[in-house]
Amino acid sequence: MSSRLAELCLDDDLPEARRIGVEAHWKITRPEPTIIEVEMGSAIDGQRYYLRFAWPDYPDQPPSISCFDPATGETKVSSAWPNCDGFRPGNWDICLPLSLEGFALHPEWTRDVSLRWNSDGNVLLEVLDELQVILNSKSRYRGRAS
Amino acid sequence: MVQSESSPKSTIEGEVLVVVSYAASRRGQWEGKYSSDTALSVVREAAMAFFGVADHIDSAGNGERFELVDRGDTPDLSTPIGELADSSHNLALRLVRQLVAG
Repeated sequence: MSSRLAELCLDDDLPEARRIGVEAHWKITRPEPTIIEVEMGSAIDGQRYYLRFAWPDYPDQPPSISCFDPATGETKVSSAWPNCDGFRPGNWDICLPLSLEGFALHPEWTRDVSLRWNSDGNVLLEVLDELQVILNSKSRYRGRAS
Repeated sequence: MVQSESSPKSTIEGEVLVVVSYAASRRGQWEGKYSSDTALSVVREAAMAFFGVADHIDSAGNGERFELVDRGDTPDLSTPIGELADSSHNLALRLVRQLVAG
């Protein structure tokens, strides 16, 4: 899929994600046509995190996801990252079956019916939902990385 | 209990109209009417069946589990739906996959 088609698909799905985002306390911006930035928090401790999704092949491929410092835009800052399963400050990526980096590290996920990439539905909303659930999980979230 | 995929209908006393959406599906919304003392777990099972998903954990402890989200919160599945419904006896929930790592 071309980036232009990715833009159009994001045009379709972004309004619903923003609507849900009001109740979920997300702040969603779109600094570039296929880059989405989202502020979301953890219900555990109220900490807020800023996530950048680079999504040139939306929705057919997963996004590259990183956390960033909202003051500088810098991603390679531990304090911008949660200490949470799947989030890897130091490697500066997210290793979960919803990120480009996760599937690159675990090609076996593409053969797993439950973990392989699913491009059905509102994929943007699905990915945001799943990240929010992880950040709200007492067993998986342990506060800010530093 | 009555369930359908069509538009909301009125409820009778003690009944809650539950609507569940799931972002990963284009099937639209699932609806069901239940008595207000019905546990959320009952709704979860019915909605998962409608959307064709199931909890799945492999031998290594990896997989997926589905949760119901109510306005950003994840209520305990034993909660009676009447405690979550609004004053019009409506309850809108979203089904969300939780990735499980062993």
